[in-house]
This record gives sequence, structure tokens and C-alpha cells, in this order.
Amino acid sequence: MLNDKLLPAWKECDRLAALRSYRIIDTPPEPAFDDLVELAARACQTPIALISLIDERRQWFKAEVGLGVRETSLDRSICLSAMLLPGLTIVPDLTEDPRFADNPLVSGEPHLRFYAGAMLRTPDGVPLGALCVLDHVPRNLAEEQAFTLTMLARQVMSQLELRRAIAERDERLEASHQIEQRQSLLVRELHHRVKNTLATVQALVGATGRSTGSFDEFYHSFSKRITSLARTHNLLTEDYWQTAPLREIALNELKPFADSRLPRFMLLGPSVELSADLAVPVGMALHELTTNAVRYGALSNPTGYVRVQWAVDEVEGPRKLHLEWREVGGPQVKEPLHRGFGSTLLQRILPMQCNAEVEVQYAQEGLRFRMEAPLVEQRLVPTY
Amino acid sequence: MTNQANGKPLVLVLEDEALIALNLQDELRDAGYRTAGPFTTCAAALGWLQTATPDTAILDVALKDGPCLEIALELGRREVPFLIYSGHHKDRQLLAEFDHVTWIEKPVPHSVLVQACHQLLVGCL
Repeated sequence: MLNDKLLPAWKECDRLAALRSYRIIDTPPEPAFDDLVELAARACQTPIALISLIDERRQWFKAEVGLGVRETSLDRSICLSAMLLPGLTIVPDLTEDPRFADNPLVSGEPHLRFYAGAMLRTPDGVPLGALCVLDHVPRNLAEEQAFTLTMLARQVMSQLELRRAIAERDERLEASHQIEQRQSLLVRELHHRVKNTLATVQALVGATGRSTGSFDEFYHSFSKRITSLARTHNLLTEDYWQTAPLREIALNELKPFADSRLPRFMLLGPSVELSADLAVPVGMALHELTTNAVRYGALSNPTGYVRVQWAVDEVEGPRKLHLEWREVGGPQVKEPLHRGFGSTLLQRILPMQCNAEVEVQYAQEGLRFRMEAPLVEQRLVPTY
Repeated sequence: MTNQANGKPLVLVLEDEALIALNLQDELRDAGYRTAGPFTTCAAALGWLQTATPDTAILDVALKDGPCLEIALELGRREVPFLIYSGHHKDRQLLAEFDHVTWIEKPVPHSVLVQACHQLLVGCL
């Protein structure tokens, strides 16, 4: 039973964590703590007083008078022993106590003889160190002095608690400041993106206007382009990382043909996520290709079909996306006389926007389109 | 004004949204300008500037390879008037040296941009 009482109710790693939580180790001297050791030395009439905190491999002094050092190794620590004993530890003559007689600070300079230490412990009872007084001659403490030393030790703990509360409050303020900054950054980014999207829509108005003859035709093409753009944006915003799966982008366009009795399209390729930089232009390209197929190509008759195949090439440098659109079984294809917006998009916008290499072949058996573009790995949102 | 020998001023276009850039190019051509670019990166525009000088320029602020500051400085050195066309608010920190630069926030009708280019060119005759 006696042994049980000697076992500490804490583990050393928890004790060190508690010590760290006060954010005190290696901080510069502070008057509040300097005053307390000064008071301890005067009350006990000793030349030396210390606030000693027991760190992992050393004892470190938050405040000291009369010793002239800020830390010593643990093998020279008398407080380490005092810390483990409840209340006040008084050693009238260190040279006569077998625990301390061989301590170099006792047997050699500065020849310490007397020690009195009041344990410093957290409200949970975890010991951090001691407030101690030392003398070069053997002696004892009067009852009043012992009482004062114990009270001063409590004051040291109050100061430590106060410091910790302030540090925690400052950290919370800093965190909320960071959240505010992040929010204002996101609002600015949103504002910028909205304006850019409006400018894109404006450009679509211009481009659609140039390639359509009547208002009805303009309205029809333009609305469908906007709808397609919106669907791609849906996919992008559904995902925290602001990427969209290529298969879903393609399905956005080809879904109306999914319920056909005969299969009208095939999507062949691994799961690959496209960032906005690639998803938006690729979505627009697939929209133009689908529209063209419905009007003139493999989806304009009952038997044709489209094969969309892709792969990601990781051989050298940045990952590359290979995408192929191939129409089969539609009416015989002729090279168009007039190049519309679709062709501008495939042959000029994709190369500019995505650094893509593209190839459009008006093969007799069906249109073929191929592109090869580096996958942009950059993430638009931070990883919190 | 050497570029205007054939009567058509040369406008450098720096814009990384290809759709916007190509549309802008079409509008400028319709209005009787020739265009250099459109360039989607500062590096590409700087490369072009090594061997040529435009009469004026339309610059987006934030390009994929960074802000257009270097291009703006280079145009300033050559006394080429230019305007900024951007989704951003006028950012005085970014272009403190260019406080006097025409700053047009996206989007505006392209006739406004064409008119602004015209005024830049008239201003430096």
C-alpha cells in the first residue's frame, strides 16, 4: 500500500506537455517573476532564490537571484527531488543528506549547504518544478518563512496560469484574424471569377453572333452553350478540390442518348479529374462536338455512334491527357465550307487555353478529333 | 508610329482567357486594327517585344505566369500607351507606377475598349 502512494499520478510525457502548455521555457526574464524570487530571498533571508522548472534534460530558471545562471543539467538539480515530494522540502545541510552530498554544486563551487523548496504544481496536481531558496551555510526556516515561501510558490503558479490564459487568447485571436483574412481573400477571388465568367459569356455572345444567321438560331446556340458551361461549373463546385471528372463532363453532353435502344456512345478511359483550367474548355469542346454530331454527324441518323476514349500518360514530365472523339456510322463526312465557332474552339481556343495539341480530321467514315494536353495539377483551394 | 505605315495601328493583346482574347481580336480587326498576339502569358508577350513594338496594348493584370507588371514597365520605357482590361479592381499596389493608366474593369462592350484604344493613339500623335 505504501508503494502505491509513492507512484506518481502522472506520466513524464504528460508532465512535459503540461509544462509546454505554459509557453514559459526559454522566455526572457519578466518583472512579475523576478519580484517573486526577490521576495522569497528577502523573506527567507537567503542569498539565493530560484523559480526552477524541470524540463526534459535540464532545470531552467524563469527567475533567479544570487546564482548567476539560467539553467543547469538535471544531475545537478535539487529541485528535481523536491518536486516529487508534496508541500515544502527543507534540507538543513545538503552535505549531510546522502541524496545531495555528491552533487557538484554542493561538493564544489558554489558550495550550497541549505535548501528549501516549495513545489510548483498545476491545478491538476502535475508538478512543474519548485520555488526554492538556498544558502552557503547550514540553517533552517522559521515557521513564518516556510509559510511565506509556500504562499509565494502559489503566486508563481498564479502568474503562470495568467500567462497561459493570455497566450491562449492571443492564439485564438490570431486564428480568427487568419480566418477573416482567408474569407476576404475568397470574396475577392469570387468577385474576380464572377467578372471573368461574365467576360467569358460576353465573348460567347460575340462568337455565337458571328457564326449564326438568325436571332432564333443565335438564341438556341447561345443558351445551349451557357447551359453546358453551367453544368461543368456544377461539377467543379460539387468537388472540394474544384475538379471535375472527365467522364461526368462527357456525360453532361451525351446523356440524352443514354436511353437509346442501340448504344449511341461509348466512354472509355480511366477515372481522371480535371481542374477548372482544363474542365471548362474540354467541356465546351465536347459540347461543340456533340452539337455538331447531332446536326451533321453520327448522332444525326439512327445508327451512328460516338466513341470517346481517353488516357493519362505519365511517362515523362507533367502528366498528359490524351482524348479522342471518333464518330462511326453516321452520314458520309465532308469538309465543311464554313468554319463556325465549334471549329474555332477546337482548333484555336483549346491550344491557347490548355497548351493542347489538337487534330481535327474530316474522315469520310466519321469525324475524328484528338487532343493532347498537360494536366494542370495546381489546386485552387488550400488544404484546410 | 512606324507600325501605322499601312494605316492600321498594331495592338498587343495580353489575355489568358482564350475565348475572351480571340473575341477581342475579332472586334479589334473589325474596327480597323491589327493585333499582336493574343498572348496568354507574360513570357510570350515579352518574347514578342524583343523584336517588335506595338502602337498600343490591352493587358490583363493576372496572367498564368504572374502579373503583367514587367510588360507594363517595358511598354512604359518605350512610351507605348496601354490600357488594363481586368476582372480585378484597380490595384494601386500592383501598378503604383502606373497610376495614370486607363483601367477598364471586365466586362465592358468591346466598343468601349476600341474607343479607349483610339483615344490612347490620338493622345500620342
